[in-house]
Amino acid sequence: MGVPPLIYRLKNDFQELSRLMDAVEQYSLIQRLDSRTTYALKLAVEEIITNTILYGYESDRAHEIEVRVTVEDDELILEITDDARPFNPLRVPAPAMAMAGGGESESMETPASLGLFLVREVMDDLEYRPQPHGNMLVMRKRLGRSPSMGRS
Amino acid sequence: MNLRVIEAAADYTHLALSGRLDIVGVGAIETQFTGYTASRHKPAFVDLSEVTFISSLAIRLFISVAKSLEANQARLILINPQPNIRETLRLSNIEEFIPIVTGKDEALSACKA
Repeated sequence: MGVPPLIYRLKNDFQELSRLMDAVEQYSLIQRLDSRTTYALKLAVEEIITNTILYGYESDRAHEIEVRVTVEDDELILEITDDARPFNPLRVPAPAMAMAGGGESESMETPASLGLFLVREVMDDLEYRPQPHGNMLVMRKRLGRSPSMGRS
Repeated sequence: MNLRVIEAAADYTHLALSGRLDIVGVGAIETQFTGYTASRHKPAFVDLSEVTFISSLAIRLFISVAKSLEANQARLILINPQPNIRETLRLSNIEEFIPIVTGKDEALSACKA
């Protein structure tokens, strides 16, 4: 029997994000993910949820975000579902890096763009699925190991 | 998240950060970090060897401080990040204006370059 997926529901509260990260780390250990893959997973979780909490809601009312992590067929799959306003992160342009122009220019078009750029860099595939009352982002990363590894 | 002042010399500042530079960690050190770096208008060396995670918010903080220092002809220099941190910094393409070095001596050389 395989390792069950990690399913974690958190409120739009950054303190809960720290607890989620502990759960992600534990899941990575169980799945025997390497350090680089674990880091990519944590970075994607951090950046997407931070963006959702900072920019996705128009009030301080409590909201729920669901995170699902699983390993299937030599692929790490991260799904994040929220009830935030519609937002397709795949449409955010890559940031114009830098202090180009003698430091006069702003380094990112939007506060979220560097984080989304990093997620696109560390994951192999991103798919946006609009939901009736929110968003789902599915991120995949190939593990490049035997399909039997990481399973009990 | 913790910020430690290793040396606040007359001509540079040497700090060490430790822990997770996620949104909570950045919030915990941002004011103090800016005070010891951008506000001093001197080259700032930041040891990252004990930082275990870095988010885009932390990178934006580094960029902001580097820009502020650049306006005062000073540089922000990062020292000895762990491999995953180094890779994230590389992906962010900041090394052109925020040097990443392996020790203080190299940092001193970089800030004169």
